[in-house]
Amino acid sequence: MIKVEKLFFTYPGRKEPTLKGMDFTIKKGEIFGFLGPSGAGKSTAQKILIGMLKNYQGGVHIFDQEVSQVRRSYYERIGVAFEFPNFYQRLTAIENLSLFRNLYAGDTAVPAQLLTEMGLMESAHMKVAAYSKGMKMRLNLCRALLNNPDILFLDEPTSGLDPLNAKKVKDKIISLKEEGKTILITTHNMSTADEICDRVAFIVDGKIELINSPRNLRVLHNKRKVRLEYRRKDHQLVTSEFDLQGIGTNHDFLGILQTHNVETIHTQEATLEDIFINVTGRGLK
Amino acid sequence: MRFPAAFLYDIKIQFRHGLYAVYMLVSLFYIIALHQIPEQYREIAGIFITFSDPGVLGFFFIGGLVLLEQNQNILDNLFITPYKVEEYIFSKALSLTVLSVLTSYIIHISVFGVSHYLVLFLVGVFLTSMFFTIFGLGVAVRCHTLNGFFFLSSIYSLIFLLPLLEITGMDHFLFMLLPTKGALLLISSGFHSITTWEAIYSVVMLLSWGVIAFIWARKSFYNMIIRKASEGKTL
Repeated sequence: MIKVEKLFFTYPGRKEPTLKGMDFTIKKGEIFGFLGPSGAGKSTAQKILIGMLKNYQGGVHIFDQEVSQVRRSYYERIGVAFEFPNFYQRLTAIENLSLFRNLYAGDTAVPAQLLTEMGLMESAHMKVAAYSKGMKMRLNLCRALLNNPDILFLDEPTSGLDPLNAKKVKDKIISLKEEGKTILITTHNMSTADEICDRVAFIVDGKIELINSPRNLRVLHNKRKVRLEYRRKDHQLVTSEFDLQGIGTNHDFLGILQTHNVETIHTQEATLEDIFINVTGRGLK
Repeated sequence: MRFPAAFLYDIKIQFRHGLYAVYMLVSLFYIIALHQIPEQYREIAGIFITFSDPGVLGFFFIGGLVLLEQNQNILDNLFITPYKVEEYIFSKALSLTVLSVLTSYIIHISVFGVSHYLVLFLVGVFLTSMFFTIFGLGVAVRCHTLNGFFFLSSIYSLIFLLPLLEITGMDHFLFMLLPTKGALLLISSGFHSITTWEAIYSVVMLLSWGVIAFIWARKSFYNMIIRKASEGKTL
């Protein structure tokens, strides 16, 4: 669906390229995450994929055509939600969606249905100027879905959302994948990426350091330790770590389980954020 | 139905920004003012007012509307849809021209009554507004602020206002090459008859200048907005 080869991009007036030779492919029906700190080149790569930045070097093939050569009909097949949700402030949410819906020639989704799915139907006739950031973010996703796109580009889709609405957005993204949509998410939110992405690419300084599934990464970077928290007889809380290897015959471990009041027990899996820092030597903020 | 929808929403947005309310008040002011002017000067004042306000209002308002969309990053979102630059320009120009024609009509019939020359008069307002609005859009995309737009637009528009000097008795044959000459002739047809040749000359002049303005505005939009975005500068 998306094939990118040796992608370089330099902004006018800058000596240093922002993208320094990216290679990746995204299959149909996949949720692919671009992860990296601000300024890593994630948004630049996304702008190239959506046809906004054209003077790149390398190959970017989407729907079997070079993106720099696409016509405006390309936009009938993709949906984009930018990081900052911008709308006509004096129009209501449903008016904004109706306006954008009418810009497409193909079959479109019903705005009221999208608003209902995103929990915005009650505010459908409210002017966007009165919307909160979280409401605008959900409305932003609705707008990106108006033309039933085959490929969806989402920049920080859960930014500014409370946990309940973030879940609503994540569930919607997963249901879109189940419908066969291809989704590229750009984020520095590791937990969102961990929850919904099939594969993630770690991007630092315009390069992809690694591409893998979140699960594979966690397994590969697993510390293979078990950590217990338990109370001694004098009620003092004690923490102990044991190797996972041979845990079933580890007498110390088994002894604690049998004789003490164990309060927590966890394998020490690395989080995506830990792995990112390990691999790239950089934080995400 | 991309263009009709975009056009109707442009009118709706202008309505929500209060343009229609403001122009109803402005029209009322002109109607009262024209009634106060002595009858022998009323016609010339009517021509001058129709040209300089309803006729050219789009030139100034287009700056506000385009800069608003630019500053609110709406353009990013519009142009990741199949919406074309040509449709955008036409929709903006036509929607502001509706306001021009409507207010000119109201002012005219309220002060001078209904005459059978009104069609040519309204054609004049229509073509004048289309030309000046498209021209204004070409200026607006070169600016980042409203103040910058007003400064630049007064420089750009100066040459087109020269034929207004005719009102003071100054005339020059080169004024014939400017669209304003045609605009004033057509607008004056609402008060007294003009010859067929004058009507044809005026329409051809305004249409030709309209095409030139459109080509220039489209090129400006691509260079100042689309190309800048495609080079990585923010819109």
